[in-house]
Amino acid sequence: MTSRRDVLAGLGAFSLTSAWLPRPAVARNRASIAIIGGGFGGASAAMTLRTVLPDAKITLIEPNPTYTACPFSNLVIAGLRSLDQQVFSYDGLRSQGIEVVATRATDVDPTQRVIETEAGTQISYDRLILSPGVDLIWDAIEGYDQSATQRMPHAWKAGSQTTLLRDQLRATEDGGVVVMSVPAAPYRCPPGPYERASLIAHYLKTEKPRSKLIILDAKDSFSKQALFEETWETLYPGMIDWRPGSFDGRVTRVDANAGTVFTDFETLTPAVSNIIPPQRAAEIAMRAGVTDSTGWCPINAQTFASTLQPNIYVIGDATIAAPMPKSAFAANAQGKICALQIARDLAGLPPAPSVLSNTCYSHAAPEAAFSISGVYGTDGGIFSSRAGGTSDLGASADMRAREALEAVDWYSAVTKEAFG
Amino acid sequence: MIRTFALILSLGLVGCGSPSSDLDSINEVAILAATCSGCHAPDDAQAIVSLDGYSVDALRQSLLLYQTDEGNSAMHRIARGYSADEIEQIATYLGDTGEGL
Repeated sequence: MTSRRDVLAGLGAFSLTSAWLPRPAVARNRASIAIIGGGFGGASAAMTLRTVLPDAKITLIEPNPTYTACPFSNLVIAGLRSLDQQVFSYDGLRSQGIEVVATRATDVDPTQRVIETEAGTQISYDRLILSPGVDLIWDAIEGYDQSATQRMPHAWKAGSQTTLLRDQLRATEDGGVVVMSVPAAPYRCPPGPYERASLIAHYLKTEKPRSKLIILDAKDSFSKQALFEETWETLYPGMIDWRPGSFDGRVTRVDANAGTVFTDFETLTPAVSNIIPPQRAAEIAMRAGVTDSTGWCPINAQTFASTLQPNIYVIGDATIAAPMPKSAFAANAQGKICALQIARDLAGLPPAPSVLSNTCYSHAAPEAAFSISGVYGTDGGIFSSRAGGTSDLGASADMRAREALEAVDWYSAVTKEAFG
Repeated sequence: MIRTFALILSLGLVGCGSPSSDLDSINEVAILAATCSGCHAPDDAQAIVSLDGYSVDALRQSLLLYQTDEGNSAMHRIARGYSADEIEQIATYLGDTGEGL
């Protein structure tokens, strides 16, 4: 049996035998660490850094005065939850001594280690963590630009888009058709569109039973597909028409003013169009020079250090971390581990081996959920899949209800850890 | 003067606090166990328990049971991704030894 003492033996070189050698002075480290992006990744990294580096200067740069969380926002769209429950203040971070700067980072000079901001200020750093999230690529679907989102919401960044889609659904007459457009991978929250479809179907079944939902998908398969299809068959029979990419599912063009959605062979004019466009790492990542030709950020899986620029780390949706998904759970785990590895580096310690995990819960109905989990190794700086799987098909209502409770608990734990 | 000041500083480095407690928070086991708190909050919730107050033995046995049990909850799937040695380290790190850790 291993005792705590044995576990710490790896550290013993420091704690027991090196009394006369310089010690890693973590508590006295006054490094400046900047974090761009106050989502699950950035906030979790900032909170972790604050704990392990009490004397470091930690600055979080985030233009939005509050954070509006995407997980559970599909419940808002279905009228089952208020948007207020998605909103988190940065006061929890400020109260820990993290400087939260409410401006947008507009450029990064990796050589000078300086961030330029929209406010015209310059912020220098010893280490920079980028947790910028995704940008939606305008006109990747012809005609779908920023102005089109007011008529055809994406609701893929939570906030006013979420309530706009909810309100459009509410305003639809019974019998009205709803269309969702889903991009090819990779994109934020792989099972998210299908959870949304399930909850929109729940809303329609309850309020507008003659309505239907068509999913136009650029892909031929998707996350938790068997579970979602089972749900749709049992809970919402005949309501959801999923059209895969190879069966004319790919949306090629929209005309927002006319409310028209085009595929290669069909023209639809639904009552509501929810267009989720293709995505890439947010622009600041490109400005910092940490994206590659895919538009995403290659990183070392163990440390989250950019493979392209020194002293910059990237976490969350912007990274190339497959098989880890772009999820809030993953961003939280990555933020914590990145912060700990940076603290080790500042203390003169080598990166520690790490294991990451993820679980994404999806609601099939208000009180029924299922999940996909994965555990990931990072040996050699490369992600590998160690274990994982999805909830059972045909599980009891009790099991689905139990997973819905787990989802609530996870949301509560992860938002508390990230935002205090 | 400068020499004296430097000496005080270096004595300070040796004497202030406990270096091992500084390092505990960033040691290899801390990194191995970092993901747990994403779901397990300090207080019990509806379906996900707090890990506070569990002994090392209880945590080890529980994690090993999740590996071998036939169930398929999220925790079953996650436990199966860790080696016996990693489970031992995590249980030892997070487990309550009664020493006020």
